[in-house]
Amino acid sequence: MTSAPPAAPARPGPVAQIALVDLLDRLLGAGVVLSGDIVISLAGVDLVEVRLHALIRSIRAEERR
Amino acid sequence: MSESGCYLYAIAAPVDDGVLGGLRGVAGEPVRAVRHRDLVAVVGTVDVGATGAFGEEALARNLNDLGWLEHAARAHHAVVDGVARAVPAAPLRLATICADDDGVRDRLERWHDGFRRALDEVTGRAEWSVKVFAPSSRGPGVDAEPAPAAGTPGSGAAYLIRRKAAATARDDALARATEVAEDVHAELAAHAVGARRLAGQDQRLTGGATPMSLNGAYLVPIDDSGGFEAAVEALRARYTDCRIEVAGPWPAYSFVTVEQS
Repeated sequence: MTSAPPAAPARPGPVAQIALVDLLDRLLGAGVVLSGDIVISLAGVDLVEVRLHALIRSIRAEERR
Repeated sequence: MSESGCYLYAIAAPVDDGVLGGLRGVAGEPVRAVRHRDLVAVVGTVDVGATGAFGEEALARNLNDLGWLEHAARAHHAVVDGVARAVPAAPLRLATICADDDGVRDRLERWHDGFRRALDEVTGRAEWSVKVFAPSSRGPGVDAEPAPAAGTPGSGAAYLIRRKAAATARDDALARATEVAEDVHAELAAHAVGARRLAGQDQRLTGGATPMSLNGAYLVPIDDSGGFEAAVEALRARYTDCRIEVAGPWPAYSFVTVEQS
């Protein structure tokens, strides 16, 4: 029996907390970029605009409460 | 009409079904592994038909709906995070959808070496975020308070002097924040195996009282997390006038980019 290579250390704890702004920064602007004949893939640039305007609207709505 | 598509969350090293069994995706769907050679794509089946939430028109509309976008982003993150905790994983962007499993396997074959290298990069490592915010322009270190003007209080000249002093204080605070950002980034990059400066976030989004001068992302070995956090603490003690925020560990979102060659 061969010994398995040492496992990479696992990250402990619950789902990592992340602010929405930080998450969108990463999910819309980073990560693996697949292109080619993907049925739907997003152009990050347009979404950055969406994100900013939508988030500002939401923050203002919260402030009015 | 309903039509199924294959939503991709991450490319990963082979992962137990037990890990995936507890996860639910962006449409509340179970997630599964599409295997090819020594890689898996973690996917879920979503409705890309004309009436489905992931159909081209509906998706464009939904992504403009902040509530929907937040739900999708958090669900996507929960899957990626669940996988990345168990095995090395390269996250995909939000809403990357292939026609079917064969399409997914085809991409795993075509970009196998790139994915493999990406996974080697992130094995045993996680991403941390560190941000620096400018000091308050009225804070310590800014002695731009003008001497009382000789003229009548509230005169136009006194007002202009006060305005100019306030603008100077703001410029000083920004210059200071830029300098601190350089130092913090250089110091943390030395503690990390990868470092990137992301675009600073708009002040209206952060809700911070002052602008952000550093939006840094750092790839740190998981067993060195404590050392990295200690380095951030030391920087906080050195630069008490700037607010320094740290968050993590997260999947290595900012360090895995495989482009089609």
